[in-house]
Order: sequence, then structure tokens, then C-alpha cells
Amino acid sequence: MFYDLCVPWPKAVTASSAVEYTRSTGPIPDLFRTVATLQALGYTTIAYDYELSGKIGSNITSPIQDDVFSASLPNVTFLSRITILLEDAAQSQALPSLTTKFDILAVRPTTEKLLLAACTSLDIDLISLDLSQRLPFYLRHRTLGAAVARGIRIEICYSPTTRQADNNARRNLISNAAALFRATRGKGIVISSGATSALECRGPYDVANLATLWGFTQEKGKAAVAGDARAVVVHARMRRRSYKQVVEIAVDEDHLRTADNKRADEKELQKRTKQEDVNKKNESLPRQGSKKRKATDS
Amino acid sequence: MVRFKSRYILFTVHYPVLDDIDAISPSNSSASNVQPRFQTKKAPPLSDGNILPGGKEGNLGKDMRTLLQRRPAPDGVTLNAVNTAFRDAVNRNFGDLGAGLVRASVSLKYFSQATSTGIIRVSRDHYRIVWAALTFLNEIAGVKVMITVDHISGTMRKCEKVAISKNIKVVRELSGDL
Repeated sequence: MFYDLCVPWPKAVTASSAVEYTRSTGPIPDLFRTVATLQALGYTTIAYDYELSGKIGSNITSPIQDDVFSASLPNVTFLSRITILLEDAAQSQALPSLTTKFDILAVRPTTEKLLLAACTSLDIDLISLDLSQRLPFYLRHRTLGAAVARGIRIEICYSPTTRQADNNARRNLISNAAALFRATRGKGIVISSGATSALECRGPYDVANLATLWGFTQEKGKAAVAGDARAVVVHARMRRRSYKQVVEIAVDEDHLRTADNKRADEKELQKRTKQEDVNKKNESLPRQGSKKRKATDS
Repeated sequence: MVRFKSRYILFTVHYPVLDDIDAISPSNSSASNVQPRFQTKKAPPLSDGNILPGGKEGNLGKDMRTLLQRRPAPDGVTLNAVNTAFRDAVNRNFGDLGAGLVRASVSLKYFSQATSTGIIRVSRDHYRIVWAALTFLNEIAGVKVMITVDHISGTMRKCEKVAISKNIKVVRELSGDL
């Protein structure tokens, strides 16, 4: 069971442009090639990623059509995900309305304060950073540890290493990934492809081996593509469908409910319950309270 | 006595964006005398509209999917080309240190143009360097490729067995749709 949580949904395609699907070349066939390659490599769950920046209106509709290739690739589960480029604290107000439209919520903070907010207070599943560039902030153990304790994972996209030409991007990625490993000790990291073309995909064990170059051990490298990635999907599902200890009974996509998976799910549930308690507490604080103001300072 | 331990890396070269799917049987080049063991049916090129849900065929044919995984090497991807390519990759990604660490022990033991499968031998201490170099490799002799490592083993025999079993599976899928 391998998961690829970031396959960028091509920007040119919107939900209404049905004519795209009948063309023979273009973004949809390229996307199909990418997804078919991932399936051939052994990934069983793939999440399409929609990147959004700037002001987020309340009427955002998801342009992602999860099931466009389900007929051709029946054994793959497709999910939709949104990555918000966080430049301003006000963008986080839109998060509740996005919960129902996308399966997974991810955030890409651009400043240290926003990273802190994402790690400690925002209700999201994944923190994604653009690791192919020099980060404007240091990755600290305290900040990232807070995220991991809440059940939020941090994502590394490996496509800059497999994309052609750009040496600088590759070096930055390796440096940042190693720093990330040092800050989190390998816990709570997810590796996904971010592949825009079929050439950039790599098999799951090859990706785990790349992780060993950045400092991971073999087990942690594999967990980053399998176990931790699965935990993100579970966390997202629980964020949408559960409240406290009550979980909606639904068809479970994971047919293999091994003992490890069950234990991991219980841990996620505990983390979500703890998080909901913290959220409730924060909401009930009076407006003049200092905690809320500090967290949203930009 | 302390024995010299090595790892045999079984890898497959994939061509995920090769448009000219008709060119699937290697030509009779003078360098290698490769006879294709089987001829796959002529499949329509991937860029045709008939693989999409709205097109003539709703489903991707099993042939196409299998060919995405394993196919004969196109012209230019020969044993020598693969040899040069992966050594260059080690050099480019790991520099003099990496190249030096593996130099004494690394060798391309096998590469078949019919199945695009190869076996590299490396010392056990540094096999991850070669593995990563294969992962970083994206072009051989001008052809855009992607390499997956199927198996790593301490003996060549186990790698051969795995290669054979994977090929049997591919042939079954192509011929019988099982």
C-alpha cells in the first residue's frame, strides 16, 4: 500500500472544460500518463493537488475530478487535495469552508510566524514546503514537533531531484530535506512526488532509498511513503467525518486492516480528540484573550 | 576470514513518454545480436485519443498498461550506453568521492535489450550510492527514461530468478490477459 499525495492537477483544466477530455494531447493525457505510471509503479492511492494562492473566496469550487481515470485504473483510489500558499493570516479563515470540498487540506507557509500558526493552531492535514528553494526560515524542532504531536505531517516532494537540468533545485531539496529530518528526527514526514510528468515518477522503494541519503533509516523511509502517508489520509477523513469519539461508519478503502493500521488509527483518533478539546478551549476564550491575537499576528 | 560482500541490483529501464510505440522491437544492431523473443501486437500510440474515457475505448488496454511497465529497449539503449550512463550518474550526483568509493567494485553484469532489464554488481557497503544514482538517472543515449530497482540481493542467482518470474508475469498478461 503506497501513497502518493501530490500529483498537481493541471491548472489549465477546470471542472467545466469538458472539451479537454476529448483532445489527444494536452494536460489531461499528460496527467493520465503520470497517473498510469504511478499505478504501474505500485502506488494504490493518489491525491490530486490543487494549488491556490492569494485571497480565497468562500465560493471556491473544486476543479479536481477525482474519478476521471477511475474506469481505466480501477485499483487506484483517487483523492483531491488543496494546497494553500499561506502569505497572510487571513487566508486561514477560509479553511472551514474548504473542508467539505477537498479530501486533504495542505498549507504552504511562507514566513516563520505562519509556519508556527500552521503547526500549532490551524486545522489542516499536511504542511507542504517548497523545498527546492532556500527557505526564508529555519526549521526548528519545537515548531515542527508541535505539528507532529497534533497529527499534522510535513511533506517532501521529490520531483525537483528527478526533473531535468536544475542543479540548484536539487541541492536545495537535499539540504532542506536533511534539515527537516534533523528537526523532526524522521517522525511525521511524508514523501510524495509532485510529478508534473510521467518522467518524474519513481517507485516507492526507490524513493525510500533517496530518503536514506537525507538521513532517514530504511524503516522511516518506507514509512514516509506508506505508513505516514496513510496516516494523513486517515487524519483527513477523521477531520471531515468525526467528532470526538464518534466516527461515522463508512466503507473503508483500506481492505487490509492490519494490526499496525488499527493501532495507527487509534493514535490518530486520540490526537484528533485532543486537538478538538484544544480548539473548543480556544473558541470559548473571551475576545480580549491574548492567545488568539498572538497566533494570528502577521 | 572477512569475505568481500556485494550486492546485485536488478533494475528495469522504463520509457514512460516514448511516443513511438511501434518501435518496440530493437533493430538488428551490429553491436548486439538480439533476437526478440516475442512480438507484441501493434498498439495504437498513447497520444491517440482512444485511451481516454471519452474516446473510442473507455479503458486503457491491458497491453498498454503492461507496456508501460516493461518493453524492449529502443535504439540507442544498449549495454554500453547503460554502462556509461549510470557511471556518469554516480559521478554527477556523488562526485569524486562517490565515484571513487564504488569504482573498484561496480560493474554492469547484465543488460538485455529485449526486456530492458539489467543487473549491476556493487560492494555491499556502498550499494545505496549506485541505487540512488539509478534513481536520479533520467536519460540514456538521448532517450528519456525512468529506472526502477526491482530487487537487491547478495547473489546473482536470486536476481535472475526474480527477473525471470517478472518476465513470465508480463508475458502472461500480454498474451492471455489473465
